Amino acid sequence: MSNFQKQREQQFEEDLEKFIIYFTGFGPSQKNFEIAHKYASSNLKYHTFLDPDAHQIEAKFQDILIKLQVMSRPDTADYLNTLFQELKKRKLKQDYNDMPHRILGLLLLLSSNLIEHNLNREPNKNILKRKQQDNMSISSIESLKDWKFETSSEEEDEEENKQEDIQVNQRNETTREVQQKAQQNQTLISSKDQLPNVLWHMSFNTKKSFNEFVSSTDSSLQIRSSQLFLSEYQNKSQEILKKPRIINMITNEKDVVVAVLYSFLGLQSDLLTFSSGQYQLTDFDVRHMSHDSLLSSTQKFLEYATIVCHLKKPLNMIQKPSLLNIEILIQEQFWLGVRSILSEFDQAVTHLLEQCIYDEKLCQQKVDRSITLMYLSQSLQDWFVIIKQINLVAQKISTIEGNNGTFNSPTLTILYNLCIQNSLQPQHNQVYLQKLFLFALEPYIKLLDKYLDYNSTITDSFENLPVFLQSCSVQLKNIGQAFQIFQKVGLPALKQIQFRKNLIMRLCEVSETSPTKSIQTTLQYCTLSGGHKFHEPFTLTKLKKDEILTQEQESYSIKDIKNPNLIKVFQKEIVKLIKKEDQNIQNILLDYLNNHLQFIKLHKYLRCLFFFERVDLMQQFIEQIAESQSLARLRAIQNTIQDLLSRNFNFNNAYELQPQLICQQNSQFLLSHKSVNFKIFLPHPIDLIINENSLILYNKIMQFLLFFKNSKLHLQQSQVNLKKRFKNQQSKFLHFGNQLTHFITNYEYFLFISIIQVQTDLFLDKVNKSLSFQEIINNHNLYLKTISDKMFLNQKSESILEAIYKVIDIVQNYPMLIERVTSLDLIDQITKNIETMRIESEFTKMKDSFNQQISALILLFDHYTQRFTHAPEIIECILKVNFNQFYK
Amino acid sequence: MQTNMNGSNMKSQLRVSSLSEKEEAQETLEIIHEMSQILNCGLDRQQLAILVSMIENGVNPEALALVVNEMKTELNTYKKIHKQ
Repeated sequence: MSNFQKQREQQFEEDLEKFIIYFTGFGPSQKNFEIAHKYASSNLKYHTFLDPDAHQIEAKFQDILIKLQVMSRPDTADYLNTLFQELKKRKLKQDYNDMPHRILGLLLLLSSNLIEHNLNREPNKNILKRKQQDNMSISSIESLKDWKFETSSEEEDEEENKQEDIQVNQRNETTREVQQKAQQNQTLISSKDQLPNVLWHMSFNTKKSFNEFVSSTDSSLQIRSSQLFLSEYQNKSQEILKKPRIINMITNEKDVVVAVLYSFLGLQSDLLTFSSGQYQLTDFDVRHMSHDSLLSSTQKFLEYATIVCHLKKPLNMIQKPSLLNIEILIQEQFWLGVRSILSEFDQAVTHLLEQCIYDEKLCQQKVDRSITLMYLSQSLQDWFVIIKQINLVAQKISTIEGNNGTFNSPTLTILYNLCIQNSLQPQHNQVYLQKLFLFALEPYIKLLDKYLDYNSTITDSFENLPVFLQSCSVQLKNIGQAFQIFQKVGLPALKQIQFRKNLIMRLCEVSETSPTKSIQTTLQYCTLSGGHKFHEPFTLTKLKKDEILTQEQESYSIKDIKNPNLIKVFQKEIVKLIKKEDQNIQNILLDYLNNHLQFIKLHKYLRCLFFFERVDLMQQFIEQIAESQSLARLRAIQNTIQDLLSRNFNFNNAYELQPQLICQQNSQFLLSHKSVNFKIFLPHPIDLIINENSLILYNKIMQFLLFFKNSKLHLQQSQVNLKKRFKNQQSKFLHFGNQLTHFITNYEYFLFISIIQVQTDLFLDKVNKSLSFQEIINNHNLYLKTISDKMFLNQKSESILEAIYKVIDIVQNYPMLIERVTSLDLIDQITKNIETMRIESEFTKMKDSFNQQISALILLFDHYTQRFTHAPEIIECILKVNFNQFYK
Repeated sequence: MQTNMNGSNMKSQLRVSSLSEKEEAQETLEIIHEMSQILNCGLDRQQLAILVSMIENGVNPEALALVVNEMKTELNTYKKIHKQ
């Protein structure tokens, strides 16, 4: 055995002993030690394992890393990888090339519960940086002193000393790091971003804290920086450059002013000039600012202002401490006031805008001036209060230091100078403060212009605006007063039933006298008589007598009206309000009518609705009547509407923004196809696409479909009623009804799916692909034409359409027949027999007619398809529509 | 004199080099220990130093791992019996 081998063997034995001692805890003298030694020795020397494969170990290691990453521990994975890479770089005994992999292999084999162990474990990332963290060193263990380093015993003491030195050095390094961190923190605290908050906090919370701040040594820099607040002429730029970065934020007063004005008013810097110690604006150039940005900019403005104010303070505090405190107080109040004013104004204008939008939706008409004005009056009152506050504050400013305009705060100086320089007379500084605010809020003013029909701009006639608004408020005040009087007097009267009846009668009578007059006289009665009961229907003459009487007696209502002429004014207004503008009064009246429909003749109710131009309610009412299927009622309503329409009442204003239904002609059903037309006013450029001609086509198509749908609905209802009547019995009526249903259903499919759906999809495709507006128009026209042709609504297909109408007429007549069938039980026997015979004969006629018409229709379709081969949907329709063929 | 000087210089150089090697070795052990902690091997620094030394002396890691695991299990059993 060679020396090397002997050494190796010796080393192995030593290691093995240590291994057993440290792993088992058995001493060399123990029997278990021998057993363990034998076991370990034999297994380690005479094993059958192959040499470790570095690639396999590496692969397994990568798997471990992936596993850690999957278990959301990427940092651990990275750390482990870093450690291994570091291990590879280390100088290990190079008897084997893959020593790091061998060690890693061992660790991997000994690892267990990797994920659970690492879920709560945080990696120690400083391990690679630090040199010696543990107190324990390998050499401290007596038995391991000479492990690995092979140092002689003579050098052990020196090594220990050196270790102590190393530790001391490390401690020094750590202290240095701590000091550096502390310095960094200090610089952070005094950085640019912190400055405004620091100052704001310290100055506005308590004056004591500000004084402390001023007197502290750290603030010496800030105090010195106040010297920077000098005009350009004094050339302190060199000092500026020497100062630390935190102070360079505010290097130039002009920059401050420019920044402040830009943030507040949107004024450009090139409009601002500085000469002879004063700032001047060449022109107002306002940028659009939303109220959010305005609020935020005012906050910035205030912050800047405080910086300006307080950085200047220390100098002045030394000179005139008492005066400065007062000034600070005033400034604080002013700026806080500005803030609150702006927020109030913002709220008022927002409310105003909301109300205006609400009006637009509520009235469903053009924005009505009177209602807008009424809402505006409340908001404008707030606005005038705000303007008054501004004036008060402006007065305060002007009283500081004897109106000389020499403020310690440059921002206040700017404002004051602006007021003076840009106004013709010094007393108009208040106006100009207003102007500043109004300029900043120009978008709101423009909206007000729109609603007030005020066509001039601010620059043109700014001075007129407050006057105009003031005059508005006076005007509104009068109407408001009148309205309040009416509410006090008129409404209580209206609540009385007798009054309401008479009122309604007068309202509903569309007689020789004009509707406005009848309303007027009725209301005169309401107001002047003070709500007395009136049992008899009154006439104009009678009312006049009463009018005289009540005027002489000075009735209750007159007491509240100081100016007798005002009665006429407010009566006119009331008429307007009732007719168009005040929905509340309308609703009260209509509510009453609705609740007492049984006492009121239907036609009178309709007239009332018609008079109020409440076409929506008219429509509802007509639908209700139609649902009741009372032909008599429908006829009555038809006559009423005919009568109303023939009198050419002006409906124009009601239909500007929405399509409305206008009943124009008589027909069997009130909402029959020929009676209904859509009338729609579209904004440009959609009106180029949907023009008048296309509207005619739309109406044609719509009328036909409406007619068809109506028939289907009635048929379905009749079938339901019939099934109730003949529950389980076979009935020829039911069978015939099924036939009709079959036709209707399949024809409906033909119309809605085969034609309309298909054509609409094609049209939309073309629209998406179209390259020009003209193309869209052409495609739209083609779309409508195709639909109308396929539905046989063109002139060439009149015969087919007639045939279809004949069939659908049968479908419409069938429910009426069924109604008679179902009501047979209600009559006596004799009448029942007669009625049954009549029904039978009518039914057979109907059935024969239907069969004939269907076969005729199918023939016509066949003929059509032979002529026009590009109509596959009609072929399908023919197949489906023929009941007997379909179920053959 | 010169040889003594040279010898002392050599010694000091050796000391320096041995010191640096020692530091490096301890760092390496620290790294290995950290890896073992992450991999949850359940070994302290002493045990780890022994195992690393054994591997450096040519012991097969797989065999060593087997022995370590067997020792641990047997020891646990031994401890359980003695507790009872």
